[in-house]
Amino acid sequence: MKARPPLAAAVEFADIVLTRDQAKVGTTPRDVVWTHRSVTLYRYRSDHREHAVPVLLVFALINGPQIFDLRPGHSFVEHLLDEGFDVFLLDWGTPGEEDADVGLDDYVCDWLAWGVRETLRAAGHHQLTLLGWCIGGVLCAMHTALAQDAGVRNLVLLTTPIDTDGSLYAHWVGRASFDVDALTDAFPLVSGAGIDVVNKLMKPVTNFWTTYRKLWDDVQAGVDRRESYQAMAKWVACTPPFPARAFRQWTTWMYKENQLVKGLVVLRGQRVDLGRICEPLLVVTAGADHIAPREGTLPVLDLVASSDVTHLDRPGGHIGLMAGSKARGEIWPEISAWLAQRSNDEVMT
Amino acid sequence: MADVTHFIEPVRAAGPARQRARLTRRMERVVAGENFAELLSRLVKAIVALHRGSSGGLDLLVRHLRLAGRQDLTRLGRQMARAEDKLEVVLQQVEALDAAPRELPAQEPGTAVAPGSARRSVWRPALAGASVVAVPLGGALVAMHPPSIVGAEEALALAVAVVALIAVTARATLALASRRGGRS
Repeated sequence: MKARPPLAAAVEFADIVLTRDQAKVGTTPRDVVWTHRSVTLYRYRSDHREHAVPVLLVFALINGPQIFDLRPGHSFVEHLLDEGFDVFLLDWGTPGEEDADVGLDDYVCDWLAWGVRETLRAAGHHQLTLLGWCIGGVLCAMHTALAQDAGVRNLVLLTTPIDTDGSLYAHWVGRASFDVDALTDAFPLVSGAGIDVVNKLMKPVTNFWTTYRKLWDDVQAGVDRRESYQAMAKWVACTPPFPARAFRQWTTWMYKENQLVKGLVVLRGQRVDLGRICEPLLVVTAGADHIAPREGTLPVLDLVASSDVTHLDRPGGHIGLMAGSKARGEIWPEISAWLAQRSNDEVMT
Repeated sequence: MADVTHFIEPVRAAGPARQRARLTRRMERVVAGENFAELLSRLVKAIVALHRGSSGGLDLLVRHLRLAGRQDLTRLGRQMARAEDKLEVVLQQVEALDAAPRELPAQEPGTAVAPGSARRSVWRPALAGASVVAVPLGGALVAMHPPSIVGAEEALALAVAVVALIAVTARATLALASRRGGRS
């Protein structure tokens, strides 16, 4: 590691920042199993599947699911494959303006349900593990609560907002003066870039200054952070839009009226009662999560009817917990060990 | 909105790392405040108003020129998306129908059966028995007394022959139906 002179450091810094889009993310080989509209179900290739129960990964409606498979040597998908799991990923894709009328009911009752069905069919097994992250976790919890016989064996919720009372999001968009109806009437899709800016404003100095400052310090010190920085920056910059109807429902139900924790959300005439979740449940929270604070996730532990509930609380942020430099050695092995204990009743030959 | 300059000035006096930490904390306090939240709400309202004025007017202009506007293309896209939704549902129904006969479990003694099949199972032996008795009896009567509508005896023979014919037809129908069910 050799320190760079300021001019060379400046050139290298500019090169790293400006060539961000050349980074390769989500490179683990995979096959398309099923597509519907913008949704795609992928199955990752593996030559040693030890556990019969497949794992279906579901990410949020903000940013892309590539965070599950960020870069070679630093991929949660890669880790699960190494541990012998059959891994599937439900990618929501990039909605177009024709998807403006797509709501949370469509995501939960149709697209996620159909994704589960296709996963079970492709895996040749009658049960699976649903692993949801952030909004993806909420969708998975809703699906598990509604579809009792849909084949969900285990449920894993990563940094998932359940009770938003007192959160910064609720403070911003839950107020009466934030007119979500006017916004979603005017725009068929709510800009992903706009949502990303608002997310970053929650920690303005960290997101708009410290990230670049740390990169500059590392470049000057001769630390090679090109790959790690570019992969993460590219993922952060990938911001698919949010369908208007889904955004209105999400904002109203979760932040204005906080309906999920009260059991008031109704999808297609069915009340989403988290108390109907009786599957083994793993809840992962991050100590420094400002998007889905730990206090807002913990109520799910009391709401569900599961007798097998595990809670892992580790230091880290909303994304850093699962995608940070320490994740590979800390949280990933804990999650895969939990899964392995609950996926081993039928071993594939 | 709160003036942030009075936050930044004292921060400059401390070391760089401590400065950053203090600035971070203070900026986070600013964005968590009432004024910032209100500013954000008003900003969104302003963006919505600007968008409505510009984009809506432009789209109207394009449509008045008899060209397909953005809304028209979106509507077309939505119709295609809905068609894909329906196609997926139909596909699932077809798959379910295709899978249904294979999923029918073998009936075991004492298990419940559908009302239709229960009715069939009651009538089948009775009809079979009737046909077995009626066919030789009817045949013999018709042979001994060729059909005629003269006198009560002939009329009785004709009636028995008709009953025998009905019984034979019913028996044949049942046999065919059970053979078709077995094939599927």
